[in-house]
Amino acid sequence: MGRNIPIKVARAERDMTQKQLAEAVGVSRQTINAIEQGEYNPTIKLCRTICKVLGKTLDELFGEESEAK
Amino acid sequence: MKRHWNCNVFYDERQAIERGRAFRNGYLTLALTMLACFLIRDCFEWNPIDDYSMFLFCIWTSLVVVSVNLILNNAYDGIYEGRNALAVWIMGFAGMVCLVGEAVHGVKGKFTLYNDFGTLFSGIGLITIFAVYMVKRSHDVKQEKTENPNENIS
Repeated sequence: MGRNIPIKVARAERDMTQKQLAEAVGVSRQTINAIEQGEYNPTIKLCRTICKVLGKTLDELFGEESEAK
Repeated sequence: MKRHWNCNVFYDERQAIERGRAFRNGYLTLALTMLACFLIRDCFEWNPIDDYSMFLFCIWTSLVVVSVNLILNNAYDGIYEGRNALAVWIMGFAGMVCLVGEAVHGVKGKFTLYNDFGTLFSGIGLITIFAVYMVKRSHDVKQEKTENPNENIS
């Protein structure tokens, strides 16, 4: 699984730290870090919550093209 | 963050998975160490340490595996705060007491590996958990402090 750059970019656009995003989503900071590093594959429920908070679609953040090697 | 209805932890799906993995690894380690001890003692009829030490060895090996897994994977929220932090400091202190006690025992010339291996191993286990916790905590605090949302996007 590659790193998830779009989440990091979307987070930067909103000037949010991992901790702020984690609090908004309702998970730990380490979970957001693991998703960004591609170490954890989140459930669809968590993906949808992240999309809602960052104002993006599922395709934009978790589509096939979003995975960088 | 949502608190699970019947336990004192917050629900985070990754952490729930990590906790499951840690406990699975702990159970497997316990089973394997007990099997190894049974083979050494009953099949090969070799008793390098007494039964109590063997029991402590099995328990502490699995406890260390569970604890290290939980700490390294941040399997609990607030693992660095409140009661969790206090528990680890107590573990570190207890480990030091075990090791110093064994050292004093050694100075008095009463130390034998056959009888004292269990206490020695317990102390090493406690200190290992404490050390892993401290290293991981300092790493996480450093990572959190240096994090900038606009940095390293490549």
